[in-house]
Amino acid sequence: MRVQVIDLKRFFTNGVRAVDGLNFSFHEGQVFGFVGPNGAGKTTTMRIMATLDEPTSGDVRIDGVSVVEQPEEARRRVGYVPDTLPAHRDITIHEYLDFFARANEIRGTQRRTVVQSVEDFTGVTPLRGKELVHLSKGMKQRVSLARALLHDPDLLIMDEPAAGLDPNARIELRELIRSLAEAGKSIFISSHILDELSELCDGVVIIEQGRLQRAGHLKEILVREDALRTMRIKPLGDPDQLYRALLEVPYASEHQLLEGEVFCAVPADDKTCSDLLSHLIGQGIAIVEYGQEQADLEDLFMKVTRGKVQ
Amino acid sequence: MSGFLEMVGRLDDRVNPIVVKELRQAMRGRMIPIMLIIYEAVLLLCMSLYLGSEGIAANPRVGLDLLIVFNSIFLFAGIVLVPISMAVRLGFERNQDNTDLLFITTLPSHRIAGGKLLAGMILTVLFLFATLPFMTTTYMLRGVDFKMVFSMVGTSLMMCMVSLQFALFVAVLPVSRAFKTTLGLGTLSILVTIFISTITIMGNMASRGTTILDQLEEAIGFTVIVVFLTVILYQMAVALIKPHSANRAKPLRQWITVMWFFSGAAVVLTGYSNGIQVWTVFSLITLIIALFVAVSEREEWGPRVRRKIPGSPLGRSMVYLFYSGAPNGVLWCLSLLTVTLIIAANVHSKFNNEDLQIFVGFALHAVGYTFAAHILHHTFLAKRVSKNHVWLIALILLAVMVIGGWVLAFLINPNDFTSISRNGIYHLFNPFALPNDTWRFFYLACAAAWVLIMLAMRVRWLIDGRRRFLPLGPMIPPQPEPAPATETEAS
Repeated sequence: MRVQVIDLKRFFTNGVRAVDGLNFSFHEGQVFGFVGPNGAGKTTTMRIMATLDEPTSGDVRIDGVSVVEQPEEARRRVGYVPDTLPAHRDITIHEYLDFFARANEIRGTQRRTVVQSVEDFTGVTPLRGKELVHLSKGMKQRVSLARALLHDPDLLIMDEPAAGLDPNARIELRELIRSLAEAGKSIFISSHILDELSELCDGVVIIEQGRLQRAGHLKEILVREDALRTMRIKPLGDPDQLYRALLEVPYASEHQLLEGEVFCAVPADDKTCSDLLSHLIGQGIAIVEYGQEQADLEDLFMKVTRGKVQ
Repeated sequence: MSGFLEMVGRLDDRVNPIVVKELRQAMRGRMIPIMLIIYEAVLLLCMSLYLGSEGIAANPRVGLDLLIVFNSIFLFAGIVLVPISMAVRLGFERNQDNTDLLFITTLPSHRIAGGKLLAGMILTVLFLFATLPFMTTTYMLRGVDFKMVFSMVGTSLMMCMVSLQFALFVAVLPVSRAFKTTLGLGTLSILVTIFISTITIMGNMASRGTTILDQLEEAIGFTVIVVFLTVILYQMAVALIKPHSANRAKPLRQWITVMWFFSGAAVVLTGYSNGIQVWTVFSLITLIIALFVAVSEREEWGPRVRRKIPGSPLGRSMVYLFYSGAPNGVLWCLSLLTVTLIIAANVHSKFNNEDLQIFVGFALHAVGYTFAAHILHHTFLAKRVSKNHVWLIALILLAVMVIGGWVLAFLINPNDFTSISRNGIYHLFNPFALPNDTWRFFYLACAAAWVLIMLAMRVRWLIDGRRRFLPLGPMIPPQPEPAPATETEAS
């Protein structure tokens, strides 16, 4: 199973180019993060992928099925968890899931089995008789996920699923997403909580003003983007001596002396770091502590976006 | 036993999921049970008070009077309470912020709209069942026969159905929450008006001892109008639930065309003079509203519509007028409007000439204002105002011309500004001034000239629309298979 976003464009009549030529793809079992500033076009892209909106041009193919040409067929392969949570009155979790199972044409005993297994998987079984309006945000999120899983979709699109959840609920959601990915589902997830995304995702798509900024495997992008690495060195003796020694190293830059430690930026490859340490030891500098600070998703996001909105 | 259970299970699978959900919610919620308890109490109270009143023994139609009271109470539940409760729930579910219920299921739009209507009608019948024991009691009293009871219940159910569908239609209108609240209050007042009108008409008929079944022509006409209104409101609700990109005008236009054709053929063939007038008025009102909607539709056909356009030129010509889209929608309205007026003018000799002139005048003004709004939007307002609001520009233009005429008349002739006969020139392009005999011909001539100018300005747009009506070409082939997880670079 492969999800392909092909030159996707969505222009609104007021001239806003919400999505402007997105191209990326990912496979089954992969969790892909979708990040961008507010108003970058994330929800519009996700709505198009979930067949809820139509692109101005371009296409999204889910296992070869076009969301433009065969939206009904594509909808069967997509589970969409919107950023709004279910809040219907006078309906219990079980009745709500039963309704969606019926709507997805799951019939007879199979419906009961499917609803039961989805309730078990998402952990809502103990509360199945409780009305939706009385649920906590985390539990509503679980119900929303359960609803999206009823028809066993290949692709799960989740728009800001962790927004407003407490730390426990976030951890539980993360575990659910991991187990879904292990079960072979493709998961496309948008979030502003970047540290969580970087723990969860195999890949990332970063957009701004509807345009693609970066897409691909997170580690590969970070290596590619992270041209300089910050080194932190703590000497045994006088830090000034270390500082002066580093000033003379031609490939080290951005020197800083902070609380007995010296920081500098060097080209981001292991050989250079190793050479630098050998050079310092050769100069007679005793080193007691050494560390490297690598860029993460948050640094990458800050680097490639300018926070522009349309 | 197992065969029976299997059959029940199969039946359960076939039931519209919306109906199951609605009825579960209705039973689980407090509103319907409380309403039913109060309802029964009111019925009981009315019967006790009425039967306990003085002079009851001498009243030869005590049963009929009570039946009218019970039916009125039922009508209040069926025309006001049930539609409002169903519409409020649907309004919340249809909220644009809530992509939950009506958007992300694989349920087609017609099943959603149909399910809501059916669930509402089941609740209405529930109220009817609560009323039936009381209605049966009236049969044992004086002044009621079965025909009266059946005709009253049948007519009431039809009025409940159309009221419910009207409320459901309003609930799915894609407007803001604030506007929806205003609209809800307006709907409530319309439903109360329908309720009062219905009980008044039915009460008068019952008092005269007649039922709708005694007047077959009226009964057929009433049934046709109720069915037409219900189906058209249902089709409009379905169209509004469908995504904007869908071919949502098609079933609506097909239904209107079929109803227009068969009802027109029926009144023409039977030669029924009232029928042709009613048909003309209904057709004009429907088509003028459709014209305002059509001119606000999208200009380009999206991929979802284009992939359904037939490949052959003949096939395209046959379906062109029915597909969603502004140029073809306007052309469809113009075609039906023209044929309606030609039929009205020629087929029936008894048709009132003055009325016909007014009808023609209304149609000309509707065409003139919608075309003017379209040109104004296209030329100056395309970037500021959404295409969906061209109808609003047309209404604003109409309001400006109507109010402006009165203001001008007042400024120039403050002592006698109310007289249209004297100040007719100020009411040019005011369709509400058409009943004025003195100026009517002048108004019609000016409106016709206006329409011709507008058509001349938009004829290219209409022709281009037909030229652009083409099926979707082959999609861009997927990019060559890249390595896992893409290597797309930044723009």
